Amino acid sequence: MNMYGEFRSFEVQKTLLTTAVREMLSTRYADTFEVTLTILLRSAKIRHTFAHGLWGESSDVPDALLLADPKGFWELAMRDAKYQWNLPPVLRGRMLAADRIEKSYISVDPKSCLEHYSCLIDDAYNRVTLVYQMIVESTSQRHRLYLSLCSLRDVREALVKHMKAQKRTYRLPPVSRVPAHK
Amino acid sequence: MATQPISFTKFSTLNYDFGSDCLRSYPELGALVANIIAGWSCTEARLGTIFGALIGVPANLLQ
Repeated sequence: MNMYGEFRSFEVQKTLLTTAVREMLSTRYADTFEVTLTILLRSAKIRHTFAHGLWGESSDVPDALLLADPKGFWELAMRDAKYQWNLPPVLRGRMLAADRIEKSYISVDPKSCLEHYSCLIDDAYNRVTLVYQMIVESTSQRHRLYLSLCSLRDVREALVKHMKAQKRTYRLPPVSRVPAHK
Repeated sequence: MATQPISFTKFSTLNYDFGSDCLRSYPELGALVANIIAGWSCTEARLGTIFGALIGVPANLLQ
């Protein structure tokens, strides 16, 4: 597991896992696995933004959190350094007139927004659990799990696109035959 | 992450405070942020388990 953890980039991990799955499972299962990982990538991006951003608040929006891209602060530091550099030595240390980061670097996250992202992260865990089971279970169970994955709208839509792009000839299970799954 | 249009509030770019204990000041919102970050870690751990299964690690060692 440590070996896997050494691959820091999710894209590299995805390639590694997909290649291994293609060696072991049939094309339709491997395709399902691959598109599920692509869907998970969206959740990874949310997590990275949240984990690496700077959190803040404003009395203008009391029921929300602010999230800033650190790039905004790096840019501000560079702007200040240039400003200080051009000042005569006796005036150095004065603040910039506008010592605020650009508006475009700040997002406002009200509770509803955070709840939505939280649900996406929970969905990601449910999907990865399904693909895990699909890999480790017996052949008959695997097909049942494959049907469950195909019943998820995002997975199905991604599969349709993937199959078209890869010119796959197999057919997806009809929607009516697919057992309902959250 | 979809950036919310700033114009939907009276938010001014001059009126903010970053790097403070805002996640502690708003525990309900802070809990959601924690759930997002920790939730992804669970997903990543599960991906690691999948890798283990693929390279033949016995099931009893994967849990």
